[in-house]
Amino acid sequence: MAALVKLAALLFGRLSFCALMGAIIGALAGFLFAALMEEHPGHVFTNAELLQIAVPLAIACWLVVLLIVGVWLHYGAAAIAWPLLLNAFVTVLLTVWANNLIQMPAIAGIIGLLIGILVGSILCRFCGRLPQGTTHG
Amino acid sequence: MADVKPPCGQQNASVDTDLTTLLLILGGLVSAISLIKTAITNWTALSNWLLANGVGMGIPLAAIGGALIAFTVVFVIAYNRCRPREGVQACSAGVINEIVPAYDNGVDQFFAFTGMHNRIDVVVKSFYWPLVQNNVFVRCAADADGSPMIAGYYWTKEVCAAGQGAIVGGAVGIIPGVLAGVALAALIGCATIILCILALIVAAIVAAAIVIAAAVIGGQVGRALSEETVPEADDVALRVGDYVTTSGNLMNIEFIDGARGYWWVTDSALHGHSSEAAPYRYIDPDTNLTGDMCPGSGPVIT
Repeated sequence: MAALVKLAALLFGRLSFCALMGAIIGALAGFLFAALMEEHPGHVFTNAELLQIAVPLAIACWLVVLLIVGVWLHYGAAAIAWPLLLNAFVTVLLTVWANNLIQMPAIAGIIGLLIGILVGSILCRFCGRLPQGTTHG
Repeated sequence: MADVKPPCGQQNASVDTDLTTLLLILGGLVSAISLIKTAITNWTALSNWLLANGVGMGIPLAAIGGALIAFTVVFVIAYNRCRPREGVQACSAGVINEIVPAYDNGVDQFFAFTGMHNRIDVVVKSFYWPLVQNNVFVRCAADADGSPMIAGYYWTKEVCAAGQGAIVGGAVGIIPGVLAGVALAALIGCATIILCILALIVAAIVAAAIVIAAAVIGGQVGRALSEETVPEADDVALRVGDYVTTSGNLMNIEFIDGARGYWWVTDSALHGHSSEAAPYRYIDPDTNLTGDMCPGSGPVIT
């Protein structure tokens, strides 16, 4: 397990906080979209359907990450809520759109993770500051 | 001899290994869709039930994913709180500016696996400033000078017992969580796209919620079975204002923005009590704590 922690720090340790958030959201969204593709094999979703899918998916992913990072990891839900919501909507929209194009459920989660890193990194550049401090600190 | 005072606040970003480890395992889980599908197919009772009720592969996939991801979160948080970390053996002395006990807030009280070890924040003598200085974050007291502090975490049995209990509880909750998630989502069904995505979200969230509930119960049981401890030196409970020497494994600690602290304090000695009130200035221990228990050769033992 110690090796896993080191590997994780090596792979993702240089990512910004927003990129990490985006990656988690993207991975979750990609995974659930893969499950949807399993329920509707071969179906290519229209843009209107993708939007219908993205909205509840983004809200669910936002709430889950808010609970994990904002509450359990003590970053403060109020401090990260709004930037995270924007991150969630953009990441989830791009994730479902890209996965609908590619139509490969097996890699949907990884695609979401990569899109999340990209979206989060861009958003962090716009937003400037990283959230600081856990209440443990 | 006083060194140059380290600048307070953030110098650089720190690595949060809770988040990076979580992301690595999450990446692994979401890549294992084919593996999870094989597991569903081989789980005869579940696959027969799915066939009989006309439920596709997506709903159990979402439920299993939700349960495993929830378990991963519990595991990573609990593991990271109790794993030893690599630092340097060091010793420092000063006055205790603040004591943050374990389980000092409602979230940690309820989700016991998120609890943190007892911590003291010590305003150190200026002689020990080289230990405070790093290129990540320097924590300072709220006095006019911004006196640098070193945190000292005391290994707290309750925290690790709660973590172990939560891991066991979470593991026990996986199968009931998956079954409940699948059963509830099947009631919603996949007749339309919007219903289907809602069903998948419900499957994942119900499964995850049951794993978390089981982890909460396990964490509380683990915590209840262990004893409460407080930071102490020479068998005396430490108080704000005490002059102390602390030694142990010194490192940049992610839970305090990467600032320097002992993870954990292995030895501490009490040298009396300050007549001032918090927040303390470094001048106080510089003046009143002339003899401490650290070796005189320099701050770092190694």
